[in-house]
Amino acid sequence: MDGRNNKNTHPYPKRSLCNMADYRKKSQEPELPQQNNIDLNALADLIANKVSGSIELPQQNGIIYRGYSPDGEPVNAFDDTSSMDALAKSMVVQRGEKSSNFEDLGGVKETKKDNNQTNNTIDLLSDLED
Amino acid sequence: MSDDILNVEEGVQTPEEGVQTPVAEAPAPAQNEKKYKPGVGVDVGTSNIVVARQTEDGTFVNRFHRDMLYPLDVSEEAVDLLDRSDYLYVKVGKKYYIVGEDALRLVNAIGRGEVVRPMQDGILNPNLKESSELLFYIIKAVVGDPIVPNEPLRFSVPANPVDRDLDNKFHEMVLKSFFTQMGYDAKPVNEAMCVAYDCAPMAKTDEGDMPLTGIAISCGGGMTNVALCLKGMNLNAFSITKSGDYIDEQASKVTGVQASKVIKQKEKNLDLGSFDMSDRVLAALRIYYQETINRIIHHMTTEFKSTNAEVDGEIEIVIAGGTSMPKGYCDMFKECLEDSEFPFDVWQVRHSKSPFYSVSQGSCIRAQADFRKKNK
Repeated sequence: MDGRNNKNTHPYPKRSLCNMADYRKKSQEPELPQQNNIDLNALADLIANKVSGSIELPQQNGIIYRGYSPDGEPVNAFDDTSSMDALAKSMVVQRGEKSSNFEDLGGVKETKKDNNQTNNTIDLLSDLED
Repeated sequence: MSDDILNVEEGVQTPEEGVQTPVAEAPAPAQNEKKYKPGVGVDVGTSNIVVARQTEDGTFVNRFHRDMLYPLDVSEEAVDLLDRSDYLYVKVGKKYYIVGEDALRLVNAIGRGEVVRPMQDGILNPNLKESSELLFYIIKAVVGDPIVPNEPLRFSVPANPVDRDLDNKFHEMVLKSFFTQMGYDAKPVNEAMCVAYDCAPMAKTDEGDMPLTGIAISCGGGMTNVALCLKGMNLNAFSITKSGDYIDEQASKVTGVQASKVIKQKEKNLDLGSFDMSDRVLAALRIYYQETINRIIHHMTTEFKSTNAEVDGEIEIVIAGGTSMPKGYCDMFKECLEDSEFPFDVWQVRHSKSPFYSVSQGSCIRAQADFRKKNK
């Protein structure tokens, strides 16, 4: 960490020539009097820790994410949804020819409920997100 | 589950007119004479498929069919049997499959072979590829076609269980894919939340009554589903795999009586309010019912405490499902709850007025809300 203020051993990527010229120019300017006793090394450590912490792969409910999509949504590192979806579709295909002696099936039971209660529930649910 | 179980009491009808929603003619033969509101609910359970639609006057029409098949090889004898009977069947290549309640009647009459169950523990039985195709063939015949293009359909799915490593995601994808192919705008809905939508639990708070707030429990054959809801939102849902089938199996094991006879006893004579030691089957059933209820309360306590769920005031618990049908179920539940360290204050434990149809009716209510939202 001692080398952080030394330009020759600067740990960050090399600057472009243009930026380097600006940097040299700025470094020749007289130093401003230091008003606060700021520990630059500690500050650099803090920033480095923050940056490295923020790029850690998030993990929730056993799902490991490999980063974020352009719209900011986490991207599942092992997403098999499309393959599973294809498999699910293949499961509902009727392969062999089938015939039956019925058209519709099942017994029927009618129940009656309080219409107001049902409608209030529908009102409430239609305002909710899925 | 017998027809006795299916013929449950009806709810109370009130004459109030509700909000008008569009209605349409249903094309299925049995639905021609009624006008239905768009939005269909489907309960694909371990034991039964139940489909609910609501008519213009507010009546719920539930169509039910037992998830069972009995395979029969094509032979002169089999063809003769089917000609002489009114058994419903599907013919696939060189096999007949007797479907529904008839499958159970036939296997009991013949005394050999086994009934095939396309659903297991609340999800599609992964070991039976051919029967899942048959299940879809049957579901199609029970559900019928959409009454409006892209009609909303909600199908109930169980939450992942807390007592077994089981993921329902694929089951959900398969059913969604199937109903979408049928022309529906299909979405899953949590099974216990369907009970909440149907029974509308109410919490009592200092600020007044809070609608659709409390705990909903669906006691099915393969699973018990539980959901904690707040104003219609699902805060926490889970399932327990030990339910009605477990009770039957255990009672059968300890008494040495066939499971089918245990089921018959349960459906005809079980009263959880009386402890009759003179009948071993009824006594065993009562013991395992109590164990199962205590197990539900234990898991609810653990889950809700671990998630620090908080609801102000006193909540209501609503219960539905075929396994909750025996007389005295809710009273036994209350007693067990009083002996527990349950994290919420409960003002009432209420049994659904139509316990067998609560899940399908709740799904139907959710589908109608989808339709209203789409047309806002």
